[in-house]
Amino acid sequence: MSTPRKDGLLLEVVDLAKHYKVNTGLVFSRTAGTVKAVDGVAFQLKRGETLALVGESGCGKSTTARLVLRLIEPSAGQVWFEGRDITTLGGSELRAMRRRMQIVFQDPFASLNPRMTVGAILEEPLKVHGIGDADTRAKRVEELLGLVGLAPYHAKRYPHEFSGGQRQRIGIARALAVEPDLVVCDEPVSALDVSIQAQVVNLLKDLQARLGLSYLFIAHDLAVVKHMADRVAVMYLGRIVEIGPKDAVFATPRHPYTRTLLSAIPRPDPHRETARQIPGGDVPSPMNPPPGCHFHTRCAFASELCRTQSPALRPTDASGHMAACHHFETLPDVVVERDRAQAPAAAKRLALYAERRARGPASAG
Amino acid sequence: MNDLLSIEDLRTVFRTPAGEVSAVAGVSLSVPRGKTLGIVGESGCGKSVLSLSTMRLVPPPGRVAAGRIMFDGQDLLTLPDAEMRALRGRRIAMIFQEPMTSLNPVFTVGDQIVEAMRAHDRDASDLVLKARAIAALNRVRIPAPERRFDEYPHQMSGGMRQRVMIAMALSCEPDLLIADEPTTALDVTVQAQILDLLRDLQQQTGMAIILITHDLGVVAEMADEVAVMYAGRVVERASAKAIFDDPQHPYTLGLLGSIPKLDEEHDRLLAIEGAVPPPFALPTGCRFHPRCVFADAACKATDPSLRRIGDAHQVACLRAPVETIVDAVA
Repeated sequence: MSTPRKDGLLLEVVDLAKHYKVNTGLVFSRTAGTVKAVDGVAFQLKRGETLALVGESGCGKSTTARLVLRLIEPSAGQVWFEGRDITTLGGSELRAMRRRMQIVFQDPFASLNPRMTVGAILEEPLKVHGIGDADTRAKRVEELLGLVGLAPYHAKRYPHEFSGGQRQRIGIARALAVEPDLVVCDEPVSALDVSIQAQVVNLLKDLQARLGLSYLFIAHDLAVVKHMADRVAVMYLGRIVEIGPKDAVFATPRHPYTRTLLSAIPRPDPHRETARQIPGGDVPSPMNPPPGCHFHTRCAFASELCRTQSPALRPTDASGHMAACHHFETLPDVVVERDRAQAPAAAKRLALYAERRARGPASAG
Repeated sequence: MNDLLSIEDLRTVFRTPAGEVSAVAGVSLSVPRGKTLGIVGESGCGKSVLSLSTMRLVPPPGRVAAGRIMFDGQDLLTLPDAEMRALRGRRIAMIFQEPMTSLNPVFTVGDQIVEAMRAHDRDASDLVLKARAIAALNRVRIPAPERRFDEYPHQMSGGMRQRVMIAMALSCEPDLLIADEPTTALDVTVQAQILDLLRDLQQQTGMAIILITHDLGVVAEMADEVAVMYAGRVVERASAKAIFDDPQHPYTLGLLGSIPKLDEEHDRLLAIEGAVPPPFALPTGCRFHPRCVFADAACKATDPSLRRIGDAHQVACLRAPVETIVDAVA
């Protein structure tokens, strides 16, 4: 099979799907339906690029992440990593490939073994992949701790001795231990406080610049995504409904669902009049998604066509911005609300704060 | 005073093997009728213990060691248990972050709402209470409330369950609603629905709300007044507008700088380094000084108390406003 590899392309996902059968009955079990957790997802990721997958609970973004790493088996589709379809690999070939792709999990409390020291946690992936001897591994552990802003003596401690933000740093260091090309970040900051979130987001950006990493960044917080991503894919009920360069998606969102998500975010501005349109109801069950466009039950612009025909992703312009909506050409122009300029006193003090931060904590005397 | 609730110098301590530690260390706050007070701060700053103290629900080994909690003219801390029980739920209600764990999975949501109403109204007939419960579900905009009444919590989505919790909390028309991170576990579109709902219900009923959250966006949308908490203390108190337009405390600045904005493009966020110190390892002087970029020797030595710097604007910082001290440092 020929490879769809192009220049600079690291990852290409083609028609990826994951369907789960739902069984009912204990004795006479029968299939009651299928949950299409991921239903024909396709995207590409270049080297050094960050693609964010965003959407609400149950939209299939975490399942997609696990499929890309082949932590679960796809029902259909291919995942091309540097020109090889990893869905056909097995045994040692797959393990060798996994060295190149690592994951950072959401919950830094559940994803670190409480009975291993941090040093052992960081050394484990090196052992699994047979990298180095005890001495070089110990050096690498020290190096990794430094890379994520921890100190060498932390290697002897256990996860419970660390705060949430520090634990997430350990999770990141573990992912980086085997020098991967692709790091899948599954909601890496959503369990953290906002101030700690900012530390981890900054760290992820620094590491990307230093190591040339590619990120598949799973998140539900659009403001964090805006900060991290180069490109954004919005998912709804197992499908990508809009994908494109970050600036295009945020400035001219084409899909009504993307517009909904953007207007739902609480803005840190008490002067702003809230005038948002949030569709009523919840995300429908993925076991029984509405026919046609999955979003039509909550969409203000839905027509008869939307109720019967599922829209395909279509380019909206030449920049690679695509949307899966029958009507995106005729939707009213979106008024993207601008945040009001910061009050002068606040802006001045934040600038001072930034200046001090840049000087480093030494100024604390 | 037209304050519905006023907390004076509240101190809540926990007994630990290392001695007593204060999770809430001398907090004074007030909530006017019909208004919303937002309490913000990172995890571990004492905001949840403060709200539990107000309800007199601090779990052992914790206890309220000092202070007064004046609610509508009476001190809740000196109230007999039976009176406190009658007041709790009826005049002060509370909703929690986890709508999944706050409901009992083996009873229908209808039974649970009726049970809460029954606790404060022993004489009403089942039919009357059922009608009132359905009206309560209707008020929180649950579609088909008659059918939902007989459903179990697992049959509902997270947003629905949080609506049920709100319906239950409001079923006795409380004067004060304490909402502890009510939307943190929810998706953004559902969060927006719940916030809109709370705001509408407040307008209808005139209840006061204490909204505990770490999300400054939620505070900006909901709160009239804001208290910023750090390590068991209130470090800044002001109107919501003043907190965002005229932030004084370096911790408030750090929180504001940490939020990724949708409109602005920054290369780096202004994170606050380090983490909240645990209550058994508090630094000397100002509790924030090890993480503060403006701290000097005085901050290490002196623990600042809240001082008034403007109309209803208080800050606990020796060096605020920060622009006045910059020139002094070479």
